[in-house]
Amino acid sequence: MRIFRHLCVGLVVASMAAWSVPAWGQHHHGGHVDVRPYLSGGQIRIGAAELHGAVVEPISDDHRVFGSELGEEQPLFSDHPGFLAEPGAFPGGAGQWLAFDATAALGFWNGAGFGAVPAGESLTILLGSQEVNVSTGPVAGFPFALIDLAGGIHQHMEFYLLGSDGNPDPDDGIAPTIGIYLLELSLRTTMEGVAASDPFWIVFNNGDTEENHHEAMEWVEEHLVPEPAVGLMTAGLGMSLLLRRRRS
Amino acid sequence: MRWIWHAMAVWAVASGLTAAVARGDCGGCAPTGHLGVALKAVQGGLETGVYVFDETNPATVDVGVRVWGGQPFQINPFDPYWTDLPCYGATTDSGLPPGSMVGFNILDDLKYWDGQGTVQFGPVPSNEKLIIRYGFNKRCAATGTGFVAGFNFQTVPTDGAFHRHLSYYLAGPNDDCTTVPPALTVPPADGIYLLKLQMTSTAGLAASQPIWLVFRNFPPERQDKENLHCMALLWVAHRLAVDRPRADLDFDRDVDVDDLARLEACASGPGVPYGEPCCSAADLDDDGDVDMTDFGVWQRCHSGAGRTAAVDCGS
Repeated sequence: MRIFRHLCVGLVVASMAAWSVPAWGQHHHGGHVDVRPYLSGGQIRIGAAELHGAVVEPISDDHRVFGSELGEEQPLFSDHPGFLAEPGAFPGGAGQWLAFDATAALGFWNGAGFGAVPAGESLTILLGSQEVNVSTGPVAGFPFALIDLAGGIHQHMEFYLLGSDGNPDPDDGIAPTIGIYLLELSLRTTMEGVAASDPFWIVFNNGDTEENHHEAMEWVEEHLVPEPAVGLMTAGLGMSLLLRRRRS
Repeated sequence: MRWIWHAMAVWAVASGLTAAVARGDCGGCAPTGHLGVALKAVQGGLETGVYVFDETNPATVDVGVRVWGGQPFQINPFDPYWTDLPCYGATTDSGLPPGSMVGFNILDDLKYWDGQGTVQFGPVPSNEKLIIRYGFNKRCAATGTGFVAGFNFQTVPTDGAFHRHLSYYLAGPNDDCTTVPPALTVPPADGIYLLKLQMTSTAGLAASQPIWLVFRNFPPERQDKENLHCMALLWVAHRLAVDRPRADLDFDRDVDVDDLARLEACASGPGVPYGEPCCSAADLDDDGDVDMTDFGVWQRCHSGAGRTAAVDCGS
């Protein structure tokens, strides 16, 4: 299977002559894809990075769709994707914070697109004592990552899928509907004069098939990611699907 | 030239002349940064070391370390009584069987030192608790909790490498062990909190030797917070964990001129009690002064910068 995976990676790499990160084609079997925010042109940009052991390896400068499997470690729970930026990603940003906002309602995959959740499900995003619940509309997030002295970050927030009873208890008899859920986020910073990121998406699989998960992520790539980034995103999606099941 | 340096150091320690220069400032410990608890399979058991989250030098280093400083409380303005450091990690040379799980147990009550005088850990003053949480799992250490069976928090991937953060919440007198996050209607007392753990594996590996997490909880404006944290780290390392020589006075496991400088700064002379509580770490023979005998211990342990010194070098 590893040979097959390497062949797939090779095909994706070969299709991306314009890819701007030299290390992209190396060692992709060793990590998982995290959200990679960085500062460029006065705005937060979103790329992708992997963590290999302790090595941050940028794999894309433009990556908007990230996969996540709920229930791999605990039911209805994931702490992936993480948020991972290499040193220098935020020049002059040491001591400043990154925050997130949920910019749309929680979506649910209906086989042809994303619509409203079927049974009042919601998604809680938590870190430490701070949390927000995303349900029927946009909601302001909170500061979650301190930019370190080297200008990088590494932080994992926690994602809990809640049933209609508003709790994430998997044993209370009220479980969220099995299926694919969509979270739209953007990032902002306390750094002065830096614009928030464009939206990016996390596509959560709650017990559905890998095929449906893949299909839903492709739909997001085709219908939500803005046009200039689509080509890169399609290639990036392949990488994301190959790697998203890996745990750090 | 080394003999000149040593001669000068001998004169300074013998005379105690340098002590006045550095009164009240024994210094902080070596940077702890984004360092975690590294896990490694060694001879049928779990061994701990330092996990270095450094993108240019990924490593498990200093295998045998059993004391971590953690990220201090009260430095995150958005969430002052929560931290997720130290983290837990393994590198590709960990030897941990893929598919197995690693976890922890709490071995003892949460302990506390208020930062006054010399280091002395006792019960927490006002029923404070420390809660460890990952996802739906949470465990609590407080007065009277004793041994608490922990939980597994990481499945070992095929390459043996992982990096995991757990949440640590410091809870106040009015909080219980089950409500996370704590309401914190009354904040926990300022001071140093000590948590004793062991790491576990489902792979048939013996649990690790005890490890200690030494959490600092002082307001950012307190000037001596790093010194107090360092005093506690050294005390735990020297007296409980015994994972480095007594002559390592800056918590970096080597014995070099930096440690000698701290020894000199505390030098009082034979039979003359040292003045500052932080100088208790420099009293290497525990006789109440810092003198030539202590300098002798440093000499026997001198390993040079960056070279780990033997734990029993001073004996």
